[in-house]
Amino acid sequence: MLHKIFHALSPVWQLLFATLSIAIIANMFTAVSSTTNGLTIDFTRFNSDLNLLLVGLLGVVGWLAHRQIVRYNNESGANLSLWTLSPPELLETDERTKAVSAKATRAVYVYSNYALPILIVAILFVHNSLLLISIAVVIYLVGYYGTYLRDIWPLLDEA
Amino acid sequence: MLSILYTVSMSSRLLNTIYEKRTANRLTQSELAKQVGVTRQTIAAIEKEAYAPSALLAFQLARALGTPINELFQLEES
Repeated sequence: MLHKIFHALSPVWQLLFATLSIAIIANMFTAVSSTTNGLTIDFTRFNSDLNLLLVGLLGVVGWLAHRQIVRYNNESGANLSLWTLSPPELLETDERTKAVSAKATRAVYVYSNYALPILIVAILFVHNSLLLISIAVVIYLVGYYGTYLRDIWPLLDEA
Repeated sequence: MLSILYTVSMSSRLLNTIYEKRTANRLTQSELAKQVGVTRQTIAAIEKEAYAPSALLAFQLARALGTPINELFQLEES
């Protein structure tokens, strides 16, 4: 099951990239505070150790994703992009895989139809806390990519 | 007055003889898949009746196997 979750075609990689990027940007924004003259950067609030850790984790995730993509390209003869992070769905030509992707995309659309208004209301409640906003966005993304992964699960077996 | 609605549901299944025709033509799943422009897994799914091909793909399969389409695919109604 792990090999399917971390398959080259799995959206888990996008989720990890998104989560770490949100954490890095949120950490950088904690250093920004508004004053009467505009925005200033308060480096005493910027946690450089945390950012180094997050950037390091991002590098590790990128390296692991790179390895999976190279292995998948070699085994299947596909040409997944290593650097542009373009979705593998853009390379699909087979009608059955397109149908599975279409069903998964539709499921994500329906999920977002309900989850986005909930996310917006949640953000309104916690708009003072960047940490809680980030957590709310990450929870939404977990559902977003998890819904997609659920529907493309059969394709990961064969790929 | 009660009116009773009867609903009749008809479910159909698409049967095929692709496996028989393919082996008669001495083609592997990969070779047939390449001829019609799909993956080997799609041919396997069609043979197992786990996937119903589009009309276009059905005609392409019939042409690749040299078989009339109504001999290759049948509709079973239950």
